[in-house]
Amino acid sequence: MTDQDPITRLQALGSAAVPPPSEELVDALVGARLPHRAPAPGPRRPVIRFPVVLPAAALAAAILGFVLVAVGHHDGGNGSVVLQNAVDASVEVGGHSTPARAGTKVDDGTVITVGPSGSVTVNGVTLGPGELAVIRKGRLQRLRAALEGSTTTTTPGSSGASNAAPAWEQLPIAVDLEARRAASGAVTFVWTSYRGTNATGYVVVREDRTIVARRRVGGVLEAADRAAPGTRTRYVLVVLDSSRRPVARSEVVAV
Amino acid sequence: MTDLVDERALVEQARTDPGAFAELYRAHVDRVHAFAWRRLGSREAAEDVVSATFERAWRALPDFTWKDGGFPAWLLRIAANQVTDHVRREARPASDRGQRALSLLAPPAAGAAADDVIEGDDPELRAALARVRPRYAEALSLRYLAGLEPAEAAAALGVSTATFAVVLNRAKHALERELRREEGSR
Repeated sequence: MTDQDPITRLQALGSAAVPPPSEELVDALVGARLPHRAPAPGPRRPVIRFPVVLPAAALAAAILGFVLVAVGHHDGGNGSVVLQNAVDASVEVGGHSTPARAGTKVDDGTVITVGPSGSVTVNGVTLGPGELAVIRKGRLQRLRAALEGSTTTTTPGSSGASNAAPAWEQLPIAVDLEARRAASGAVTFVWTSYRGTNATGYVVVREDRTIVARRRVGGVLEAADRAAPGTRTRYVLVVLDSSRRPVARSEVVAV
Repeated sequence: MTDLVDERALVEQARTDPGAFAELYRAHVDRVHAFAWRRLGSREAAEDVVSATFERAWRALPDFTWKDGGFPAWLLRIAANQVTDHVRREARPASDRGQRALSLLAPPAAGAAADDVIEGDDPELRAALARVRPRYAEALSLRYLAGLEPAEAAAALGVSTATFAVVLNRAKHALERELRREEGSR
């Protein structure tokens, strides 16, 4: 038995004759349990697939996070700074975005997005309209280049609609993402390999803008979100090329 | 095809009619029971799973939508989940300390009851299956122990056939690793 391959053994076990269940079980189930169904639930909830509500800014922030890790810039330091001036800008950390205000203390890893008519000053360095930056070791680092051609800035507090192509929704759907919620509440993912060229990484993005996983092309095609919200949540997998630009995505899955 | 159409109609009727559900039950109980027994290796555990499976199916039937594999695939997925839960529950006291405590409380029986042994059983394989990720165990079980076609198993798991192929392939490798590990430890 042991020298057979597992599939042959599984097939053999699958064809093994098993006695039928006892009549007592059948009677107990049919006669007693089944009629006591709870009142039928309300109307069936439709499966949410489209429209996707991840705004372009979310993906920008998400991919920005990926870039930081992918290029080894994120070292988990704990420097923090105070915004000296902030107009028409937002700060985002841990997937949560809030309007930036003068006097706001921001920690390492915080992403600053300046709106089209805004500005932000940190440690005497001023970001202009449309700029993106991240706080690292208590200093401001501009990161526009990482996002050029992939996303666009948005006005903080707006709906996040983009004004430049490609909108992420327009990315070709070239991978299958499957998500499943475990008993622990974590959401596990598995996806198919991207078959295009020049792709270097995958990111799994939660609808609240958090990157929940980053994987390199050629590595494992699975991940888990162990901090998933308890409520139904949507995710999308984005494929990034060697310039960290999104080139493809999965359909949005809700779990 | 006629059977399929009939069953679909029966499923529709069973949404509101316990009598129709009882018919579905009688039509599928053997298959679910055999599936559970092959995964768990005992009549008692299999019957627990069958009971929980049909109870859940009954409660969830209003939300059931017909996909590849239809009602049987859906039912077997519920059964696979129940098997996973059962394996998880059984694994909890598996620590040495827990095992010692259990052995003091209930010494192991000399052997399984005669009617609990099935010809062609493979306890080693089953143990390995219990050690791989639940997702993998479900994929392998639905495909090979329940005999679902790939499209049916994929639908049962709620994934595309391409994704299912990926999961299944990994599951095979994971199972191989577990079996090798078991052989290596002997």
